[in-house]
Amino acid sequence: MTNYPPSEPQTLDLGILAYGHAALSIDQCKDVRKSADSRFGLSPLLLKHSDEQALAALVAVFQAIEQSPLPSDHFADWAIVSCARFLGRAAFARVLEKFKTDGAWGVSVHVIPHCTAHGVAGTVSMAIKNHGPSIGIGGGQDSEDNALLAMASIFESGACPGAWMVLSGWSPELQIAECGAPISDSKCHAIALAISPQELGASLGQLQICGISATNAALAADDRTSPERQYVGLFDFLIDSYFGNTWMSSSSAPLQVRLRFAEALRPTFNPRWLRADQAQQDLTGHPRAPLHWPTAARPVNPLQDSATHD
Amino acid sequence: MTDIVISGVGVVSDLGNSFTQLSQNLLAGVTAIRAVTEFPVADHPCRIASKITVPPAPTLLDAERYDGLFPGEQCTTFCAVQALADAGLWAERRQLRVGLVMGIGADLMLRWDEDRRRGGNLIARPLDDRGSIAECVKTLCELNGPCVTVAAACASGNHAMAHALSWLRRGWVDICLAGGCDLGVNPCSLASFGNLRALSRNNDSPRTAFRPFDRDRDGMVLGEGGAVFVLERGPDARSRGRAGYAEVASVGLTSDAHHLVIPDPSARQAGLAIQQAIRLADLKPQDVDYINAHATGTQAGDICEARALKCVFGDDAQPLISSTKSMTGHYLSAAASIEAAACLTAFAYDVIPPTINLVNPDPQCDLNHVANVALPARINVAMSNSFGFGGHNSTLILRRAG
Repeated sequence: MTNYPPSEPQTLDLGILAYGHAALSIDQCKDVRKSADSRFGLSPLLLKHSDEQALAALVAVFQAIEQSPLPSDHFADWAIVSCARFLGRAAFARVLEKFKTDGAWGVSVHVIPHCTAHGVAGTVSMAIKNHGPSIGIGGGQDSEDNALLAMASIFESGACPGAWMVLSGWSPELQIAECGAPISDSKCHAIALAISPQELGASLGQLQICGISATNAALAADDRTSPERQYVGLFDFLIDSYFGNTWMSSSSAPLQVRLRFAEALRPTFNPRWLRADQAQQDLTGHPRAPLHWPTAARPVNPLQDSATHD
Repeated sequence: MTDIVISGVGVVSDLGNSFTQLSQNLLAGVTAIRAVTEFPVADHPCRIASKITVPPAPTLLDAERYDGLFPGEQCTTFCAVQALADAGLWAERRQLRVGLVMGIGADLMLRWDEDRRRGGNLIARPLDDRGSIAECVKTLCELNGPCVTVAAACASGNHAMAHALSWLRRGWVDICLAGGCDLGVNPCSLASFGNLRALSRNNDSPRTAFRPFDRDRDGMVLGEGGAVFVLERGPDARSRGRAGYAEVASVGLTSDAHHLVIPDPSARQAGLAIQQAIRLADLKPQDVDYINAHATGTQAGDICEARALKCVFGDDAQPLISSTKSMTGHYLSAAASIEAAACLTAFAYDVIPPTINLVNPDPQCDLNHVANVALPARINVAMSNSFGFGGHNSTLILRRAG
């Protein structure tokens, strides 16, 4: 048995500098496609084939930038980490159907750039001219905590001063016919958070990501089935905090994610911990240092004041 | 800073389902590209590829469970088990925090497509989804750490390496499995890439169709498979008497923000990714001995990569370079991983695998090619470029271990 030295669990504190939210109906998605040039400076041809989640992501990111006191070029070298739930499902259903009826020549060339898991990050990167790394994370249910983990990984080398975390999905989950046509009245949501490890003092809120030690890894795994151990997926947490829908449970992860928004935002953005237990301890039982909230929060609540296209 | 080394390798490829077999074939200049016979391709613009046969269950796993998986899950699991066994850590894995980060670009599409072919309709009932390929591997191998799927088109595998580096340096995991696996040789993917005019149409000559950096290149040829690596802290590996295959020195990552398919012709961001990797590894350009190029054999892509390399290394100091895609085919989101394995081949055998089919080098790609025949050379630093659709630029730097 290898004698691995127990490594001290680390807690990573990150500041949230801006955020935006969009909720688009299918008809509103069509409007966004048509206004690609005026809204985002993009060719309408590009957005013609984009997934609805990419459209919602663009709206959310642009809203965040517009409402941020920071200049848009502040984000130029930031990373983009997108986590789109079931991206491209309707489009790929159409591809399967077209292939069945028309053969190889019926298969769209757009499915690869737009519907693979990096499609949203790539589209946002182009729209806001970001040159940091852009990646898609996960893709299925409840993989938003993985997006946070990925974002934290990107900061490690110091090459990126910040990252956009863009979470998107349909609520309720879109129902589609066999041909891929939507048959439910769902809305496509996206939340964009501008997150930086360097600017905690000026942030609107904070995220904490806590590691675990080697000694309790097995315990954490056993604990995974415990109801107390379960926490909601981050995207649903954010959406539900805002819209009051039913929470969904998430698979657990051996890293703990906590999110709080600054005092000024509490009335609309309920600062519930993602974990059911709200103990002021990390997973190893070590006392947690108190969070340092910004002393001067923004006077305006961007969520309260935002047009969400509802 | 503590060094991070690769101490185990797992490979699934039509050139062999082990690092040794893959290496021997790469060094012999063997190509895996052939006519596709596994499904009807008469109406496909490209009818050639390197398509794998899914390997049987590793003896360390329950064969019945393995056999019930989708092919993408099987191949990734096979690689992970082989890598852990190769590192000598299979038996100990339950006692360790084993992270898993997989570069897979089309995880859901692979499963939706396979499910539909098996008569299912998972695509219409996504909430019935049993979880990602990476989660499947984590469950089957009983791994006990964070698990993430990362997608950045053809750069996905290098992004996975970058995440693993970070987790190890932060102390979040004891060891980390990182790699990529992609089974892109299926009817829809072959059709979509073919219709995009990204694939070679040299269907009558599969073995010579993929011609990176050659004047007569006409696009890429798809391949499939993957590679998974065990990464761990150097002192931990050495305490077990293992020097490791190589040190993972750095990963440079940028985005073009130019076009969803076409690379930025200025190659500025690709060059910056290379520079970033060199800087993060605390190296100078002249320290790089060998480059495994992205080189997909497209007209625009190869020229852009050559331009980026000239910006970084100058006209007269180009390191030795080859594109092993000419033999493996393009593994899409697993390309970076199989090409990292090719770099390990160069370290392990002191021989650089060649670019085959490089008969008439394109004057716009006048680099220091290892053309057609492997070249004996003892290298200390290898660099692997992976530049994905959508301008996802990544450069991995590996250094001779210890």
